[in-house]
Amino acid sequence: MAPKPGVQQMDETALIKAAQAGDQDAFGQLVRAYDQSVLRLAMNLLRSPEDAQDIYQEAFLRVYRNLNNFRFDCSFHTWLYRIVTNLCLDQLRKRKVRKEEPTVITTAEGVLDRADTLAEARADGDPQRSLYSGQLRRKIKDVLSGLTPRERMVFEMRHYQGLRLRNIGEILGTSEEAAKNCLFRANQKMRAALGEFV
Amino acid sequence: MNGELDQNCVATREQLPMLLYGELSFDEEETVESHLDDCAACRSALERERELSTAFDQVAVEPSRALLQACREDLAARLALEPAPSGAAHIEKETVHTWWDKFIELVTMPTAMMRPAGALALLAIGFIGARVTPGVLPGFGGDSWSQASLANLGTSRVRSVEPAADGTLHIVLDETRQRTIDGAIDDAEVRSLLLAATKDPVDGLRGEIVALLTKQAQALDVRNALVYTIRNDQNAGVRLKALDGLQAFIGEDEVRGALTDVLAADGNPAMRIRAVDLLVQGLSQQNQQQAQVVDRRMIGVLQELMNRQEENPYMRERCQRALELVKASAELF
Repeated sequence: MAPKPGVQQMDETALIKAAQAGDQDAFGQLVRAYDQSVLRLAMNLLRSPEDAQDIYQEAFLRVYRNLNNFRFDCSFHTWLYRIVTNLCLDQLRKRKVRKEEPTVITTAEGVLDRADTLAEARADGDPQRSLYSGQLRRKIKDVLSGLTPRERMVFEMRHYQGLRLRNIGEILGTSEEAAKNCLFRANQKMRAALGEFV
Repeated sequence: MNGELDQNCVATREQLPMLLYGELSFDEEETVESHLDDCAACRSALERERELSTAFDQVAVEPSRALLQACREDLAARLALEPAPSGAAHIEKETVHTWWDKFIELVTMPTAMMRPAGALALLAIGFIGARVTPGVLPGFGGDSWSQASLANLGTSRVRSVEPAADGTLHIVLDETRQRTIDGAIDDAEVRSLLLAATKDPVDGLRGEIVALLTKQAQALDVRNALVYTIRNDQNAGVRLKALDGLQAFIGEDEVRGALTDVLAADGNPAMRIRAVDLLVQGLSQQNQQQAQVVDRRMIGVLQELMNRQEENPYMRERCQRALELVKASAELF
């Protein structure tokens, strides 16, 4: 499970208040505390460095512009992730509408999945196992891209970001139960699609 | 249990992913665990579920450090153009770059360089690079740096630099044997070591040394080292620090030329914005006599940016202002 990013609670409250008062140094520290996990979330969801970079910039610009509207009703992490997940969901929905496959590019060597060129935690081993792993990875990517944006988002936050369903519900403006149902559906779909591998 | 999927097995298997996520209630977990104790088939299913979960981990993408760095630099450049957030009791800027400086330093310097606020700057650099050898560096003429005698040091590497409470520096060298040198920053030997270490492969060490040298930019050899850094250093954070040290010397041809090079060719938007800001600042402060010296190359680059390349509205406004200050047209002829 990925450790939850951020700074210690007392420090964070002081930093947010300082940033709200116009202290840019404090704002910079807030950015640095969370930006790696924001970029990882966007990158894993969108599988495109350019799109992830756009989400990163837009998210932190929105945080900067709206920081004075943050009233400590929820954690800063939750507030920031609401912004990030809304931006990512919009992007995922646009892709669904356009039926784009943004991770696929055509090169002189044929059509490649750009995600295959990204750094992944690969399991190296004997050739047979590598072949199996490669097929499984491709299948998993297919299945993930076939989920609805909300299912994809909940699965991403639970599995890769290690967030609790209660927190995910809070971020997405829904109940823990609804988030759980969404994760359940995502798992059902994936297990059905990956049946030959498991 | 005979392994067939009865109603309990179906219910249990649906819960397995949530069991692995630790998202079952106490009662739900109790029911599942109880069934697993009695059902070998469901225990096998749990193992497959674990394997699947591990397989999901293998498609996780970790953004590269370079991408994160690029994001931080782009954000810093973008925020520099943003007005203060509405409602903020905005802290007065000491200079036009004060908060920008801090932000750039904060987001672009390597993590190893991050220090608690107010703490004394202490270097904790892992290993070293800059081989201290006598000689002339590219971009440096027959100045005092290149002529400084380092023969008595042999082949050495600066391992770390620590400012001491009395204002002197404590430098640790890697040689055949390690030794330390203590001295003030204006001491010739200390200065030579610092200048040579501006080419160290470790970003953090270069950044710290360049930051120290910016306070000594009245010395020609230091200015030359800073000019070399802004033209050649691979790390934008280090280049930005070097720019800081030169802002009081924009009237000098070499410095203005380097800023012009940055404007024309530096790939980092924050560097270009800072360069044009410094040019405008320097041109605003120059006296009548200096104003009569026409820097045709700088004017050409500014006009080129205005006419062909520059899409950033802030950059265009600054370029236009710089051209006005030298009484040049924004048009290319």
